[in-house]
Amino acid sequence: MKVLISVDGSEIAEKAFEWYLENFHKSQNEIVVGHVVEKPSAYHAHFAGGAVSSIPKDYLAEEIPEEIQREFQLLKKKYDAKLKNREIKYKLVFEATQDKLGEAIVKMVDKEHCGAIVTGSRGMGMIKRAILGSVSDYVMHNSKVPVLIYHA
Amino acid sequence: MRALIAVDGSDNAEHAFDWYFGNIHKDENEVIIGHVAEQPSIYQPYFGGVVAPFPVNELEEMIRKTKREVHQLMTKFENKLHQMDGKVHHRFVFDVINDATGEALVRLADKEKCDIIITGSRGLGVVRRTILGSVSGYIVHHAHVPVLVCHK
Repeated sequence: MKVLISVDGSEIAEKAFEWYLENFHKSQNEIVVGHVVEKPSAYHAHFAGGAVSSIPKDYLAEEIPEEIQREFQLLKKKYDAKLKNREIKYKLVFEATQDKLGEAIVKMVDKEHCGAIVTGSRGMGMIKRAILGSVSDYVMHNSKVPVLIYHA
Repeated sequence: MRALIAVDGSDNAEHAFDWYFGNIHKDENEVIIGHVAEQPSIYQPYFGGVVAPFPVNELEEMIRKTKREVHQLMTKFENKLHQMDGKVHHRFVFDVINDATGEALVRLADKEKCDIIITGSRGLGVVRRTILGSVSGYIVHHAHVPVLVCHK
């Protein structure tokens, strides 16, 4: 089964990821580490197992803003380090999207043919009081596959 | 890992159960199958100063009905467990409560020190339009452990 683990830079996402590995993961699972960022125009960077696989055809003349590139690199390094030596089949899918984040994540589940999705209950959103962040809330209501919601 | 699978008589609950065993279960896991039966509250009509006789027969009938329902559920899930390869460490836990089903389930998870709660997205509830039933919704927002919501 392919499992999408939806991450941002937050600690909850990292904890959800670790929890997944320790309690949920089975050796036949393939992990898709998914990260989406909102961007006015869409650029899709696709990393597979360590190298940029290809520049997509819809690449615009406009480059990814540097902050987003840096964010992607940081996250990529973080999750590569966690997964590289563990004999787990995985891939990192980072996307800068025009869609709302929740929608983009649900679309990613479809696109990557994932059978389940793991998300933290909250991420880096502004409204810290909310029990369930807006993205996780959206994903929970709109996912067609089971959703694991990890609380802090 | 100890998993609480919250069930009622619905297909959704059965699907969540099946999905858990098909994709998540490991031999060392312990499974608690938790059911909270709804018992409508009994009230004594009080007209003009005279208390109506306590509805003993109704009460007995309701208890019998609940017992039947619980027994049916137990049988259903016991059969499923018997058909599985290997022995599954499991327990049935039942509670009967007026409302606050979600609360009872979260308390159950706490009491039994479960590491995860598994629930269907909707159960036998009356309001069919909602995507997420009230009990599942409560559990997602109030559980102290990760919650897996299984959509059909």
